[in-house]
Amino acid sequence: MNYKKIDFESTYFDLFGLTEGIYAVISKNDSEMSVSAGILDLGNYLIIYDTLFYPGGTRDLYKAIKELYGKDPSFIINSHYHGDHMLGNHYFPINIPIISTSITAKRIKEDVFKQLKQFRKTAEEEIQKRKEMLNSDDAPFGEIEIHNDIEFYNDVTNPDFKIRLPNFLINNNLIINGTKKTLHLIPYGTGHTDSDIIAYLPDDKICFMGGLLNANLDDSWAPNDTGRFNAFDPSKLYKILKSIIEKDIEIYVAGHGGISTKKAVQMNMDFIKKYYLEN
Amino acid sequence: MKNLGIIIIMSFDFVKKLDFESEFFDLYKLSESAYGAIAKEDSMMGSNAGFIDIGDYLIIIDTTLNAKAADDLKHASLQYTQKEPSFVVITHNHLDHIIGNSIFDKSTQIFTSDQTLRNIRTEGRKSYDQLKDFDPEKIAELEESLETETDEEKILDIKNDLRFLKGVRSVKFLREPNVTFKNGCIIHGDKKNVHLQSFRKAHTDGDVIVYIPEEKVLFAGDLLFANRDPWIGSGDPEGWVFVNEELMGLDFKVVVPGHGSLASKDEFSLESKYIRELMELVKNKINAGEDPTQIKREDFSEELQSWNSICFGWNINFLAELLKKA
Repeated sequence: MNYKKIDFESTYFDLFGLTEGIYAVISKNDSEMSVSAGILDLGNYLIIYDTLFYPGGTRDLYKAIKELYGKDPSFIINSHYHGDHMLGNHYFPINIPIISTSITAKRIKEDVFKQLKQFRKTAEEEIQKRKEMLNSDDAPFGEIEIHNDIEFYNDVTNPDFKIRLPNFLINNNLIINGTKKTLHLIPYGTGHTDSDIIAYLPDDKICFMGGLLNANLDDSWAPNDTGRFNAFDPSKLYKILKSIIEKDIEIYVAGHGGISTKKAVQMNMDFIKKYYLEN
Repeated sequence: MKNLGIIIIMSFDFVKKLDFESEFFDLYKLSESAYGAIAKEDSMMGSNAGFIDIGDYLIIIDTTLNAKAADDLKHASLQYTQKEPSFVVITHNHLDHIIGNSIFDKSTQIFTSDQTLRNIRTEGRKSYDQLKDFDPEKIAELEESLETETDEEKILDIKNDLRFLKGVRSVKFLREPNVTFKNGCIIHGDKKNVHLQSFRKAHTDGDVIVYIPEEKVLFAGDLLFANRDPWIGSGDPEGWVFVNEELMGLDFKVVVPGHGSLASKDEFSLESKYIRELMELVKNKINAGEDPTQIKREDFSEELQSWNSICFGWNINFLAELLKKA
């Protein structure tokens, strides 16, 4: 794979140019809430794929867009309803439409609002825990992650923090034809969640996978252990990955873990087979 | 025809005619968020259009056959909503609905169905190029012929040709839609939601409707020609009747048709009746070994006899070919 790191300062993510106008935003740390995003310049339109979890990360993402292009995105995409991919929505101007599937919008309304309540309820306690971790020698996370978490809890307890729902809902493919590139947004049914959207650039053979793909997998993530591997319906997720691996794609940007190839897709399929389908 | 239009509009007591000056259209406020631009008879606009203010976004529906008409539409939308267009929705590929695309800012996304974009890239582009290449001297001849022509049908034909020839000359290029959907999508504004839905095999292959369920307003594009011959030659007549049945299942109280005055479900019924009757009439003529072009308005049910447009003859020829092939 031939991509280059872009000179952009952020404690949250590294920015990689995959090809002209297509950037992968890859988290610097490996916590569960650290996700990838995409900046896609189609020529006349700029598209953002996922808005991240940590408010500081989203602020940096917005800053990167402004530094790269000096303009606002035309569309934002929420790949699925999990908060780690969409809590940053409200940092973008309201006039930018947010695309998701109808099911994703419904699940954000049902689940993420509840999660926010829970975050707010436990914020004080969690901040205290993190502060203690900073003085501890055997903290489970690194110092940057701990600071990020503290910032997160401080931000979500701010009354100005809002969950912004997607407002452009699709249930089938949407194609955005820019002057330079064409983007295919392809929704899938139950898989990682009950509805996920990939962003596929056929000409560049690049696909942003959202939660459908993990770049790295650990046996300890298997369901009987930590449950970190998240599959709403493993057999259907397997089928989705099988159909995506067959597409003419060279670079897969995983929702967690970073820039990958077909090898990572196969690894995810093997993992599902081993821990979910063969038992 | 005109009287009928007035009667229909008057029956929509919730609709308000706005005091907007345009040589191309009359502007109606249909609901809190929707506005219908109904083309004046014989104007160069060529088709109806409209706009919807859903709070966060202003959505324009169709851009007409003429850049000046589209410009008036844009001005009207700014005057009544104080917003610049966020999106344009194109209902189908025919030039009388898309010529004004290029007057909108390049940052304004233009939406339509996958199939409509494909049709614009093929037959739309072909018609546009042919009309653009048309000899200017022949255009002048056509205009002159209007002064001497007495046959009503021929006059309608010439006027229609001139509308298209002048329409394509009102723009520098044919701008294609850039965001396409397979079946539909929903745009949520902070005030209202708008549903876009596409249909295969009706007036064209890929017609799009724009529907505001909360306000019971429907923009039907050319799926509805209100009280006039629908042009059935670029789609699927049987499929169209089927789609009309589906549309009549929606809850709406006013429709902006692609052509003709503001309408209701009744006009969809009449349109389906027209298509079914004309198919039957042509079929009977062919089976009897007679010439289908001999079909007269009087052969229709009474409520369809007063209709009048250039599409009548075209439709008979199209159906005759279609049924002969079948």
